[in-house]
Amino acid sequence: MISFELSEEQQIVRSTMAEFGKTVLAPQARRLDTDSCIDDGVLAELWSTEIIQAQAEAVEEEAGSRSPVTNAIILEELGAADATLALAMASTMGFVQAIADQGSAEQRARLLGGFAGETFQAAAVAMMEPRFGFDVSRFQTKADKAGDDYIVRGVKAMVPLASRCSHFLVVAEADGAADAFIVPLDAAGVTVVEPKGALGLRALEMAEVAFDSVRVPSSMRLGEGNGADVQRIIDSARVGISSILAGLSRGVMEYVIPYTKERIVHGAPLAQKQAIAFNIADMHIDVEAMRWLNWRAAWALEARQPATRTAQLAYTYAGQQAMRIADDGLQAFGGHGFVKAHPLELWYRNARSLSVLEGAAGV
Amino acid sequence: MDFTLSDDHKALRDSAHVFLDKEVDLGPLLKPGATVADVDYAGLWKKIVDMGWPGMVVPEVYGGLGLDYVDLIMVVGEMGRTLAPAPLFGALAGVWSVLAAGSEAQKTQLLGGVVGGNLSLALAIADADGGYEAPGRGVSAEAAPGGYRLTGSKSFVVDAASADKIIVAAVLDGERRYFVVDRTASGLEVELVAWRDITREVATVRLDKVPAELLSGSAEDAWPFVRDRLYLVLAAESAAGAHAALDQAVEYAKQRVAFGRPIGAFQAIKHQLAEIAGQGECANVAVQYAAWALSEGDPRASLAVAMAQSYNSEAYRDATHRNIQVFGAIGFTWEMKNHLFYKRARCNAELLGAPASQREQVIQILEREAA
Repeated sequence: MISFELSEEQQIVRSTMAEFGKTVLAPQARRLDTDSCIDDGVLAELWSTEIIQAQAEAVEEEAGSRSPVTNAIILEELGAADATLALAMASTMGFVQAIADQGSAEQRARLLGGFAGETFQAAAVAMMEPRFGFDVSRFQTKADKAGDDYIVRGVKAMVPLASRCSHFLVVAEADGAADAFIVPLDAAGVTVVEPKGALGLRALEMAEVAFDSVRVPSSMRLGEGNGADVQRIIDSARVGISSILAGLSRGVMEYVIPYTKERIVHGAPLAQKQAIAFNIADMHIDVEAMRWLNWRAAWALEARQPATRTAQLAYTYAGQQAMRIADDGLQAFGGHGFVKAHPLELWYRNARSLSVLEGAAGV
Repeated sequence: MDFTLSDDHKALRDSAHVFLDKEVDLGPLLKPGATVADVDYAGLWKKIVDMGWPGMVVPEVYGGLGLDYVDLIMVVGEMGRTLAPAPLFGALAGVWSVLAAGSEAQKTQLLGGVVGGNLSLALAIADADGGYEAPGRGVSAEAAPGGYRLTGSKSFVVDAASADKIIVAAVLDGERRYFVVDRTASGLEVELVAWRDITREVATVRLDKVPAELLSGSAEDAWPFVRDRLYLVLAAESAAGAHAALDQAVEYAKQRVAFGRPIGAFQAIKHQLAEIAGQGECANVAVQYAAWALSEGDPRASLAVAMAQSYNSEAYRDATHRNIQVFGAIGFTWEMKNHLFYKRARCNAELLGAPASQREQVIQILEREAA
């Protein structure tokens, strides 16, 4: 039955994450961006939310704790505080969720325990590839059958926290179709390339990871004999990123509103000028639109309904709107917008990075 | 959180879909100079009355179906998808006005008439400048033996020409009150406006000492109640219309070949279609959320409907603009339906105030919440 009410649990998660984001994460965002690194203390704070542990520990019957809708809520709140840290969380969450969701019983038993401990453990879905013209329907990374094993060859790009990951879920073409393979960081032939730096999401240490004829046993093919539903992993990733973009956009709006009330121009607060006031109304409407589209896609994932179209629309839409909102927010601050005294330039760079993370959203 | 439409919702939508596909014929409008007079407004309405739609939102206590707003958008969406030329907008505006401003006796009598199919209503509230602000200037009321008399004019009155009775907002002792007049009353003149959306009847109503009955529960909050619901109606029409525009454009883009390929294979076309699809999904969810909020009496309902109306107006306008672009020259010929959708989109965006006025409301609501 149609309902737009969050469950009590989701409301609690939302307010808890909002508070955590505002008080713990947001104040550290600038420092992390400057350092281009997330220190262990911040990662420990992220881990203390126990979101990933709960998803790793959830047994089949408690699939609710891996709810894509709840994940979307969490990532929006974290995104409102800092998109980089939200993505650090989303990246590991994506790996854990894929294993929990699609892994065989043995894979779940073997791997999920590593994400239920007391210290931060990164992992990532290694999807993107470092070449012009990459798109998620054609992978050049190949997994060729060799006896009982697969040999994985290729290079993955923009892998968050790559050197800290214990495992990668490598999406590769196997026997003409996309499939996913669980590869430990320390497997022979895996090399993490030194991060080259980026426009935004700088602290995420996104790096290329090379897989040079890495031998992966069949038991580490996600889902083992059944293989993986890679599209579902892509859909989940898109909803995750678009939720972070919705959060980032909301963060811009919430930062701009008090400033425009205080800043006097031509004898009246900026907020009383229609050009600004209407921009803020548009921001509010667009953030709501992004959120509902995200939740619509997340709900489809949760209900195991076809989600690809909505997830793609949500990601593309959020990428476009977040860029406009980040730009309008920066514009509202005028000269103050592009100096580091305010976070707008940081958010602008992060929005730009998120919106092209999967390749140009416009393509 | 659950986006699942119930089986009842789907059944209602599907029956409306089948019915309107069969009954709506826009053919007579696809010729140069066509006006709303060229379609059988009254004939379609009679069949719609037989379906019971005018009584959908009338509470059961007055004999109606007492359906909620999610039910309503199932039907209104189909009306929007097909551009069904029939006075449902006016009927709903009238019903909600009576619900907001009528006494129990008036509700029983007037709404009973609507449900029974014997009475169609319209609401005259906008002034000549298109403003809806209270108390309004267009019509004044004066006490007269046995009731009141109204003098003045109201503009942009949807479905006045086909109504039996018109609810008129008039100024009495400096405040806006709501009155009922007979459309055939002496001194009342309904003049159809050359409204560009020729699937909808819009008129100017002039009154010269027209006998009127005061809706005795009239109060200032009647209009916000009615307006919020009419926002939902327009937003639902717009969301469905945007989807229709997308479907038509997609179909055409698959068939039309240029430079040896279907035009849908060119990025310049398919990106436009993807844009419409994204906005269309947002519009759809916005209207479902607004309908749910109104049905639940959620405190966010006024914000939700204002956002839906603002967003969906622009989404529909963009969708129909791009739709014509995809069709190219043939898209703005009289014999194609494209221009009808564009005109509906353009008019929906202005009928209850431009999207800017809803943005103004959004700002006001947010400021109230923040205070």
